[in-house]
Amino acid sequence: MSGVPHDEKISLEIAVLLRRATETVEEKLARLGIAPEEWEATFRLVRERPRDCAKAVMTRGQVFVFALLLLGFVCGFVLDPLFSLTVLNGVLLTFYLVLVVYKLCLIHLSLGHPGDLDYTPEEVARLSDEELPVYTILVPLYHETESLNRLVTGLEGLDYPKDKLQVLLLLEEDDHGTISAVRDMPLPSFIEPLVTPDALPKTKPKACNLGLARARGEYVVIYDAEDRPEPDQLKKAVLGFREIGPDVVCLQARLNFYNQRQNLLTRLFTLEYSMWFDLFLPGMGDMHSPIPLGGTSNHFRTESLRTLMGWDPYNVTEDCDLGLRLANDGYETRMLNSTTWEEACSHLGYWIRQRSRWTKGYVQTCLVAMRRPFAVLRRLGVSRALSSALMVAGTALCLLINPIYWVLTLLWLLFRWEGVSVFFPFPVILWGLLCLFAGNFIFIYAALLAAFRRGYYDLVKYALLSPFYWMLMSIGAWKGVLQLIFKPSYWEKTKHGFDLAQGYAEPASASVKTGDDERGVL
Amino acid sequence: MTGPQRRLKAVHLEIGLFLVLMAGGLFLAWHTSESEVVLNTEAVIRVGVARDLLHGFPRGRQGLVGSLEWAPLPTLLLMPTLRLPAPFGGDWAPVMVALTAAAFLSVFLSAWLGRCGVGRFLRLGVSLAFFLSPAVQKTVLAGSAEPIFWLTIFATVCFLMHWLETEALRSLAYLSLALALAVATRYQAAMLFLVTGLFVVLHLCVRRQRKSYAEATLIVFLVPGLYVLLLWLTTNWLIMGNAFFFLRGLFVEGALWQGAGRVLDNVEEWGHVALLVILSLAVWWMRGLNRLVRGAATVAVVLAVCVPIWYGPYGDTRREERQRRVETEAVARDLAADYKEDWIVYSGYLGYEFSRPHDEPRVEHVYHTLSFYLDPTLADTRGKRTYILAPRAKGYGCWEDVNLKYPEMFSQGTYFTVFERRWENWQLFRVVRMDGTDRSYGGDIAPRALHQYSPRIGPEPPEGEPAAVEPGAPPGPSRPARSPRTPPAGGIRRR
Repeated sequence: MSGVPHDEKISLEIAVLLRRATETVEEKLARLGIAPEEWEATFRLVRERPRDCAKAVMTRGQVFVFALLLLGFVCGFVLDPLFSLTVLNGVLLTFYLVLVVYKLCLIHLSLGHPGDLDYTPEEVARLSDEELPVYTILVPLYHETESLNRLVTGLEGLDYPKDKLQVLLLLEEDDHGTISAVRDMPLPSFIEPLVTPDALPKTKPKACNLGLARARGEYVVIYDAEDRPEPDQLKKAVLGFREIGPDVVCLQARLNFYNQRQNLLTRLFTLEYSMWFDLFLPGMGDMHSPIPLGGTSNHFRTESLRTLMGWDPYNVTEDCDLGLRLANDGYETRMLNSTTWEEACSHLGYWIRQRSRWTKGYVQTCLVAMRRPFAVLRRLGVSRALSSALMVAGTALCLLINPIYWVLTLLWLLFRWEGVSVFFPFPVILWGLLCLFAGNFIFIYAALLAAFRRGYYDLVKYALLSPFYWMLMSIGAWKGVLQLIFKPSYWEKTKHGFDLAQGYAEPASASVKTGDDERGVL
Repeated sequence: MTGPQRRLKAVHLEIGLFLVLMAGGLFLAWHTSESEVVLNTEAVIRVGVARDLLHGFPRGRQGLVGSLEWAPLPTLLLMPTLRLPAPFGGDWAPVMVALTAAAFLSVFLSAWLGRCGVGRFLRLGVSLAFFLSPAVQKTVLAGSAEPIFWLTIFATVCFLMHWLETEALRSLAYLSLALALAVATRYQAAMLFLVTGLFVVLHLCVRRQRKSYAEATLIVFLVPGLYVLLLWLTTNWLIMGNAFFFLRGLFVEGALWQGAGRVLDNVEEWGHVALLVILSLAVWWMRGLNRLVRGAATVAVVLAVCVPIWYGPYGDTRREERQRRVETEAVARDLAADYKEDWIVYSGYLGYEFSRPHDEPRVEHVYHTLSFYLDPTLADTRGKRTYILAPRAKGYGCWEDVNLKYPEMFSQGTYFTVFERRWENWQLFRVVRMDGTDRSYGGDIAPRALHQYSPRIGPEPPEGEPAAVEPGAPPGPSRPARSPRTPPAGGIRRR
């Protein structure tokens, strides 16, 4: 429209906007080339299993139970405030101790004999192109114009026959910048854009559900725009799916960052990610407990995922929710020893926004799971249910209550305020001191081990700075919880591309060394 | 059989062995002790400290972190069992903790031998022989912390050897954690920490590892041990005002290296550790031998280790402990009979000998203070005759604060005391009051020069109680004794 006068151009744009504002859903779908059944499949979970969906933050029953608990505590506080607060303190400290012991078990398992699926390059090379199935890759994009070139290059670099690849770039209708950048770009034939209609909720899982409806691969995987998966990851996933039983419907690859050394924040973020994906999740896999999936690089059997009705479009950590839901439905997730390199958010503001979304999503997921606690217990069994509760609810709760204990500890150390001591009678003080001296140390040491295991030897010393990082995590967590009240399904977008100026490359030694020694000393 | 199945079977075997050893050990302990436990001095002290902890006793000299709230590992392990009924708790608590550690050590030994290729029957036999040996049973029955210490050291050696061969991260982490627990059990283990560190550094140099790897390895290795050392030093500083207090003693006069030498001067304890280390090293190195030679060599090594463990020169420490206990009971009886209207002040860890039979934090007319501070003690016991009970400066006694502050106390008393009574290992001294509040002297003992001392000792008395008498003033009425439940003004100095 370069030849069109300016006023006329504005008039045309206004006309387009007006037409779009007044068009029906059917018209919109037709304009975007989406079949009505595809659009319906996007919200199937909301329609058919509303209790498994986070559309309503809490059900009436949950509100009633929470109100009852709150009332009980308020009554207790009015009658005997000291006793009530001491009991609450004891309960919280017991929770801390249980969490510490549980994570110690995970680390022990993970360092010894993780339940990862691992394949050598020779095993991967033995796969012929003919025997490979069609693989669908979903790439949700929103304001990602900077990452597009790198994304396409990365996808082209995947070691998988291109005629058996279906890459769906999931674009948002209101993201004109990315849409026009995609249109202007000469895309290879296996990459096709798919524009999601502009409708609430505007979340990544909604776009993924639409992609799932259109997927024609036997397996499907999600990658983010800035992801750099190991080239043979898809083949490893195929090998994995063939080796394991049909109950395992998801393989979670390890995630890590390629810009670990960009600044202090990315260094500490890398340590956290290494701890999560290289120590905790493999340990959970070894225990066969439900794995809260990471945001990307989850490989699924497409049909099973459709049976599960895809992702919850209202949950802002839809990955974690799906991990628990598939376990509830009797399926399993295993870890795949292949790494996808992501961009660590290096900007503090965006990092806090991302963290707030994660914590909000974890709380959402917990609230959804707690709608039928007895059913979950019956299906998963006590140990697996407890394991997932500790990992999801425990992580969020820990971040939320940490600042309270830091303040109490500081008040006690600096001012010897007796008001603190009264809440710590024996044996509560013993619990507290164990958490203070042993618990904190164990988490720092775990970060240190994670860095070592990943081969980030120069980052090991930064693990000693973990307590400062925990403070940032708690800030993000509180922001997320407050947001849950006011904007429960609002998606805090993480901005990418801060690393572009530096041009980071993924490390050469990609996969983590698993299983130090199968037998160990004992 | 697959790998995980084999692993599971091995775990079942080890759990079974552990349960058998625990049950057998408990039966033996109960049978041998005839339902009466005779703890050694160390165990008595640990029980006393743990009880103080459970009662929430005071907050340390510096008023920051509680003085006892970071206790050594054996004391911490005692706490959960202390309030259980016998034979699981009470005075049996140290026995149970020692028994658990010994059983765990025997299982660890069996697993390690299995790891080194020793057959199932032989390794079960060795671990049983070790567990039932007089050396182990003696320490278990005395409630000693030695089995915990042996366990941490044995684990250290095993993980070190495994790491030297495989460089496995898990072995390195467990090596450093085992060392840290050893340091938390006995500070003597700091020496072991240095020796092991030397091995790690040498290994890194020999293997010519790159700098970042070596640096990371050292950090992983050092952090737990240094952390526990830091806790030790901080605790000593908080309680005693001197981070290196634990290395002081009558015979070393504060010289650190001499102190370190002295604390290592316990041949019996180190002898057992050395035997275990020899065994673990030998079987590890013999893995490369052919099966026949290895079998014969293993049997030889096992015999070479088990014989001294069974027939070593142990001495009848149980009889000594009984004698000591008889004397302690006699002292307590005499004090209760003849001095019940007076304050008896005793300091230090040995003071727990007197409070041991009771689960109460304080005993009537007794003033227990871990660190001996004369002025506040006199202020707190003002208005009554006050006596100081001093232990002989021998063994644990030489570490007691009263002997550290007044080295001649036991042999000749001090300028402010008068000899009162003697037992074999204890002496009682009457305190000569300088402020005249003690009317037992009738004004004829306190010399004129003493009046130049501080006119008022201790804090202002609470409202309604008589003020301290000025020097030279006529003696007033005695203050009533405080309730033993009520801490005196200035706080009870007790650890």
